[in-house]
Formats: sequence, structure tokens, C-alpha cells
Amino acid sequence: MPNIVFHNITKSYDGINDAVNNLNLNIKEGELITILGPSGCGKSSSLRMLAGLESITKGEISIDGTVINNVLAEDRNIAMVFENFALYPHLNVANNLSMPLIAKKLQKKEIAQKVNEIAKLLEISDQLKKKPNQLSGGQRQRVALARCLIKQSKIFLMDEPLGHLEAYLRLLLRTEIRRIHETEEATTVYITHDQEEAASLSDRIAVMNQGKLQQVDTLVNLLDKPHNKFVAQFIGNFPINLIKGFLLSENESYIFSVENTSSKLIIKENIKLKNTDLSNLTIGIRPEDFTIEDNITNQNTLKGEILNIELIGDKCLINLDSQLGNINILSNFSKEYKINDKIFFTPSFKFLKLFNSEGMNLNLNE
Amino acid sequence: MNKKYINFNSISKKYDDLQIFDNLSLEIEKSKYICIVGPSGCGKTTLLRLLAGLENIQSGNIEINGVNLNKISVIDRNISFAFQNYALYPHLTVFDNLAFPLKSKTRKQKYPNKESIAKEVNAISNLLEINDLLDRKVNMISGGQQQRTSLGRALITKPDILLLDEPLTHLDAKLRYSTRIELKKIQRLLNISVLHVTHDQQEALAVADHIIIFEKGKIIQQDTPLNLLYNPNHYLVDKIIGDPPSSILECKITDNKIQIFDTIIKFENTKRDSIKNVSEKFYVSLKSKNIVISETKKENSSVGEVYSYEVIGKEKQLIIKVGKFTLKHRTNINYNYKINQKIFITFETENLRFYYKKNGKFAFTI
Repeated sequence: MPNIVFHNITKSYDGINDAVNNLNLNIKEGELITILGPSGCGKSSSLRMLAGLESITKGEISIDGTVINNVLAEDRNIAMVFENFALYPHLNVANNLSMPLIAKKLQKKEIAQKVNEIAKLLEISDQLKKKPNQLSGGQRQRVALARCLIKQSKIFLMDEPLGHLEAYLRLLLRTEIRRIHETEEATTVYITHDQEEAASLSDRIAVMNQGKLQQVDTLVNLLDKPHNKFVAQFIGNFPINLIKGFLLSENESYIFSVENTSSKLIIKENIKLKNTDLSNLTIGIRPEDFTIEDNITNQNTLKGEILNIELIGDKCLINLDSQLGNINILSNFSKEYKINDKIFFTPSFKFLKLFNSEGMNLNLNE
Repeated sequence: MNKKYINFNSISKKYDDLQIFDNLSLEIEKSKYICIVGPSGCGKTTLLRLLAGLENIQSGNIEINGVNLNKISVIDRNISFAFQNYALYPHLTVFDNLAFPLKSKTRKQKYPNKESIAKEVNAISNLLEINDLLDRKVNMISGGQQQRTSLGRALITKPDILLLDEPLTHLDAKLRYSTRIELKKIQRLLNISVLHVTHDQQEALAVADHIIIFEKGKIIQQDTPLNLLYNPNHYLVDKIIGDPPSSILECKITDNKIQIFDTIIKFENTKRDSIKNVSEKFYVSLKSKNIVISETKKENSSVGEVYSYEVIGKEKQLIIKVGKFTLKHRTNINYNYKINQKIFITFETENLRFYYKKNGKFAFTI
């Protein structure tokens, strides 16, 4: 299982703007890492440089310690799956799968054997004689995955491989991809703009925005300890509540005064603040990080009126007009709430996310 | 007889040889947010098209407020339809798209001049927060904004009934979430009846006051989201509603013993009375919470294998294969199960639900 290192990688298409700006990323052997970000963030450019489909403007990419900047794409022993499958329309499935092996000059018998093996693994044995246009989207993507696997490369690059599929197939195939990655003992770099998909199948996620790496971490760390407001907003199934205000220091704790209200939140967590403008801050609280109370239980218990309720599995997402403004709370369905009900709730600051005016999270002790 | 607002009375509909509805009857309450859920081809879109008057009924009739619709033309029904693909006029501005329905001949009396039309356009664009976009061509605005424009055009005629066909399908996750809150808010604000067709049970649970579940042109259950979630009366409802979805499998019942895979579950004799005919075949519905897994062999356990896994929220969802059956089980994200690892399964029997195999209907619970 190879490891991959991006060292000070910059890509510029026009010599003026950087599509990728000084990317440093260390992908561990056997890892499935996702590069996640909105369109234009540089994720595909990064992947294409690794595949050898784009030149590198500055910096070095190495695989297992060997710099590959000047190695031709076909010599990098990398298998790639594209969003649009990129199958040969005039060839049947068996011939599509054979292509990488013919290129490697393997014997006919050996090719047939490998094609059958891989078709069995991906459950497309019945489709081998069909042409791509006779297949459903899901089957076509399986063929594209099979063609990627048949190269027996130990590096898989996947560029939005599920982007063009129907919702139920996306759900089905992401566990297939995880399975293939592990059973083939590969190192996989996966590209998507869909945070839920990234969360579902990655060991770690590298979040990019405007050509810059924002944070690379496990899902749990991205949720609990986002480096900045962009990451906090981009990651998470429900939008994070962002509450503006200013901070006052008092004895051992801090008091966060919520903008345009008389609400105050007492923060006892140990936070280190230096040289920052305390008057222009934003607290981020995830909908999961509230407790609904029967009455006022502590100094941070607040009140709100229910505007909307959505059932989410066996939980519910409550939209509240509250003393913190309009917020969302995810709650267990312990009792039946109704619109216009008034409820009490307490936020948890176990993983306090406090952003300064530049959007940096001030509560990171690293 | 005290009739409901919308009544489908014994309707039948056939496309060539394809029978969509055969003698279907359905009553719908006024001023509710109704979701119609089912797989593609179940007839849910056809139902909307019949109500809108875009298709003819072969037999039976539809009544609204006791008035038979069969002879009433599309334009006189006061029903609006917003389509999945928005169906906006690309060469017109947002303003002209919104104003379009008011310029028809039949509405000439009500909206005789530009001022009267502009007044309505302004009102609806304020409601949907697209008032800044009125001068833009629709191909110059985002997907979410097109969605709002399409919705605005449907609402501008002040319909009694709004029909939505997969309104959220083409939106990304974040936009889907904010749009569904918006839809619910508008329904409540205007106090209109909404019929929203979707294949996505999670979407239906989130927005609906009442859900109707279709399968092959027949209603299999209709109820509030909570009742469907906790008291499904058909195995198909159990299978599609809920998160994670249940696994449905056939099981043997003899005397007071149930066999699931290799595991024997005994149940009390008091429960036995509710099972009238033990010789019948049953389905059991296994939810995540009914499944207990262990890495070490336990007495009376069944053997399975971890096929794959994915991360959902902050939990790990294991895909477990037992023979040809697939089970889904949510577990702590930190448990490090390996793909192809052997695991031992026992069952938590509280609220385990059983269905008759012959007709799919709910049989009993233990």
C-alpha cells in the first residue's frame, strides 16, 4: 500500500491565479482520503496532477518517497474512475475491461480470466456481452470501477464517481467502494463536493476552498474542532447555528453577549485568546449540541418558540425563534412537540467553536 | 355523509396495456401538507396529473368540495402544478415568468393592466425572497433561485391546491433542507392544500402532516409520519420508512419458537394467542436496535460477515451479510470492524414486528 505526499504543490493555468495554492498533504498508506470542497476549490486539479493528467506548476508529488513529477501518466501505475464513467461506447463490457490489460500486453487467456474474476466481484458477469448504452447507470459505474480495479494498481483515484447516479444507487455504491478499497488493500483518493458522501466513506477528509487546503482530519474532528468557519459550515448534515456577539472575561469564565439581544452565555471552558478583537465574534453551535429542558436548569438555559418541526429518522429537527435568534435543535423524540410550543434548551460548549472576524476558530489548543 | 376536501372516487387509469389505477378511492383533508411516497412507476405522479386535469380518467371521478372535476377544464380547477424540472421559460426574466399565468385570457378581467400584475408579482417575490432577481433571465440565476421562481409562478394564481412533483430532487443537500422548510412555511402561511410527490421517505417524514404510501397503484398505508414510523401495518411500509431502513426476512414459527437464521427465540404463551395460524409464513422486520452483534461466539447466535460499512452522522453503519441476506446495524464510530470479519448476531426481541407473508400485512409483535 503506497503513501502519497503533496509537497508545496501549486497549480496555475494562466500564470496569474492559482487553482491550487501551496498544497501540503500526506496521504498515509492504505488510507481512503477524500478531497472535499465546492466547485472550483482545486480538488480535481490536485487529483489530476497526481494522475499525471496535468502538469505541476510548483512543488513535488511523491509516491512511496519517489518524486513522480516527471513520470508519465501511464507509468505511474494509478487507476482512475471518472464521473462520466469514460467507457468506450462501441466496445462491449468485456472488451472495455480488457483494455488496460491489452495495453499491458497480457496473453488473451490471462485477460479473459482476469475479466471474469473482476466481473464476478462486482456482480456484472451477466453484462459482459452488453455495450455500455444497454446498461443502467449503476451497472455502467460498476464497469468503470471494474476497469479501474483490473489494472491491479494499488492507487485508486476517483473523481466524483457517483455524481451522475440516482440517489439510491449512490447510497448503495459508496459501501461498495469502501469494500473494494479495503479488500484490494489500496490507497484511495476520492473527490466529491458532497459532504455526506465524504463523511460516509473516508478515513480522513481534506477540505479545500479557493485553491487552499483548509483542514485535513477525521470526520469527528472536523465536526468538533473545525479550524475555521468555512469548515464548520461545510461539514455536518444540518447547518451549524452561527450566533454573533462579543466576549467579556469575568473571573474564571467568559461571558458571551449575543448581538441585538439581552441574552448572555456563560462559558466556563478553558479558552486561550490572544490579540483578538473580542467585540466581533461568532459562536458556532451544532443542532446536535443542545439539550431540551423541562424548565430552567442552569444559567445557560434559554427559551424559544417552535416555528417548525421535521422528523429526521427517529429524531426531530426543531426550528426555533429563540433568545439566540433563529436556531435549529436536533432532539430525540422523547415527547411530541407542536408548532408554537415554548421550550427551554441549554447549549453545550464541550467543543466550543468561537470564530473571530476572519473566521478562524480561536478555541484550538494546538 | 361528511366528505373530505378532495375525493378520488373509484378511479381507473390505463396507459395502453399498463393499468396504473384500478378502482382507487382516496380522501384528502383540506389545508394539510400531504406527501405521496412510492417507488418510480407506482402511480404517484399520475395521481397528481389526474387531479390537475393533465390526464383523463377512464372511470370514476374526482371531487373537490363536492364538485365533480371531470367536466371542469384545467384552467378552472384552481390547482397549480410545480414540476421537477422547473419548466421555466428560459428567454424570459424572473418577473415575466412569474407574471405569465396572470396574462392568460381567462384572467384578463381580474388582472386588466400592468399595475395589477406587478402588484401580485411583487407580493409573491417578496414572500419567496426573489425580489432582487426580477430583472434577471432565468438562466442567469442559481438552481435554488429557479426553484423559487417556479414555485412563485405556481403560487401567483392563489391556488387552493398546490401540486409538487419531486420538488427537491435536483437540489443539493443544503438547499434541499432549506427549501423544504420554506415549502412547509408557505403551506402554513397561505393555508393551502399541498400534495407533494416524492420517492424519498426521509423528505416525506420531514415535511408532511400526512403521508400516503403507494405501491403499484394501490395505497398500502396512510397516516401521520409518527404513526407510520412506529406502527407500520405492512412490511413494505416498515421497509421504506425509518432510518436506518429495516431488513425484512422470512422466518419460521413453530409452537412458541421463532427461528431467525440459526437463532431460536422463544416467546410467551400469552403472545401466542395473537398468532392465529402458526402454519402460516411470516416476515420479521429487523431494525438496527433489534440486532446485537459480538466479535466472540455466543450461545444461540447466528453467524454473519461484515460486508462493508459507512459513517452516518457520528455513527458507523455496518452492512452485514448473513447468507444472502443483508442487515444494517448502527454502532459506535470508534468500533473498528474489518471488512470480511466474522461476527455473531443475536436479537433484541422487544417490539420485534411480524408480517403475514401471504398479504404483507402486520401480524403481531412480541
